[in-house]
Amino acid sequence: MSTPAQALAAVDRRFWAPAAPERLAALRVLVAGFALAYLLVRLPHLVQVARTDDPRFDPIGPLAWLDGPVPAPVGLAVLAVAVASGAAAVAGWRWRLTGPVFALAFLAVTTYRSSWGQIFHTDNLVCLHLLVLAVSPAADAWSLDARRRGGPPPAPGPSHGWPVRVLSLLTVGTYAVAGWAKLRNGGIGWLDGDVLRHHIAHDALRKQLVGASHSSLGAVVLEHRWLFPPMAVLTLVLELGAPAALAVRRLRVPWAAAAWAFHLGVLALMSIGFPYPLSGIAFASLFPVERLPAAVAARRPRVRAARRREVVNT
Amino acid sequence: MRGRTLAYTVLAAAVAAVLGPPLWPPPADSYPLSTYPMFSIDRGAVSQVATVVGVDEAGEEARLTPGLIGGTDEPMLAVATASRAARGTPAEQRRLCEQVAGRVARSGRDEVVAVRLQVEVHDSVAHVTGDEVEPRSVRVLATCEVER
Repeated sequence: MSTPAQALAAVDRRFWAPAAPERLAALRVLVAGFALAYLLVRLPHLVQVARTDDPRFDPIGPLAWLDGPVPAPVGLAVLAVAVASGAAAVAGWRWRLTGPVFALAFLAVTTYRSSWGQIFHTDNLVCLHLLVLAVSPAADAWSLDARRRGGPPPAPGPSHGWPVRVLSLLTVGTYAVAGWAKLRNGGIGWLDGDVLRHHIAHDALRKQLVGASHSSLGAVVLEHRWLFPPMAVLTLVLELGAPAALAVRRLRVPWAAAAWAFHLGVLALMSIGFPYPLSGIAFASLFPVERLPAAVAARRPRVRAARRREVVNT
Repeated sequence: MRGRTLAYTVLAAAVAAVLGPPLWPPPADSYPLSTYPMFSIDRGAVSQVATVVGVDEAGEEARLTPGLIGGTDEPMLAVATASRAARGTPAEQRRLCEQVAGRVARSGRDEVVAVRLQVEVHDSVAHVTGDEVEPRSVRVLATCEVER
């Protein structure tokens, strides 16, 4: 076999490798659970957006065809469908229907939110993850569907493995593209740190001017120009190096930890929260998350025993 | 075989979703497909920012809130609202000015008697660090009284 054919066969073996249905089920619970919680936490804001009737409407993406804002009852109805189908999706109830309905309703709600002149990049990855999960058998285990079906969960198979790999690909891909955009738009000059410094200052300034709070830590850090070149280099290494975490298993923990710390830094310096990566769930597909319940259960007796010892000692 | 076809179709769609927007000319940001342009373009040290401010009886300026400016509690929507109006026609500028004045009238901010849509020019770093608080220039686009 020629080398390209061998390479393709190796990619196929890896992509099509079997996985336990519990891995995909855990990702369903985590990703859909996050998306549902996100909608519920942001509900007052999303209701405000659904009720807004304003000429500044600037539809994008899948809603670009709209001529103007939809009537408030329609927007509120889509929001209600998103919340209801989200709850069903987390529970794995009628997943083949509720999974796609939730993914599409979440897409509609978040696209509408980004259709007023400001695109919220915080929502992209969770939305893409939901769309992939929606076409996968993510409720073959740990779901009401599985309980209704009865019997043991299906044996590990390729259909439970490839969606996990696509989720991981999307995660590392979005970071790599963000890094590439910095080089494309800023050139190698992006590394001198001034672009980053100006961005942090500009973001704080515009928040001040509309009466919003901004990070006081960011204001302190801005006074120390020498901090920005290393911050810029680390940012680019993290983003452009993301695909390595997909290829090399032992890099996954350090890369995910670094990406999480990066978002913590953005939150601290700019008061911009990317809740999906900050929750850790954006990186969950890189790890055996199906072991989480067993790990938590195994920890409980140890914690209880430690507490008992504390009580006895006091 | 059907499962494999679906798997590779989704894989191809995912690769296209990530790589398509930045590679397809012209690279345009959208949702949920994005070029992820955050923090990539040099904005320079001097920033022009549109906003709406309140004015009291003595003519002193008072900062409003994202809710009063944009109609929601999201600061970035307030920024986008003011920027878009500032780029728009005088009628659009007037419209936002009146909308904000209406929201201020219902808000209990009794000290505010007028609102102004304006574009402020600042040295962003100097402003945020407190070295240069006053704007370098202010261009007023519309002024509206708050009617109670």
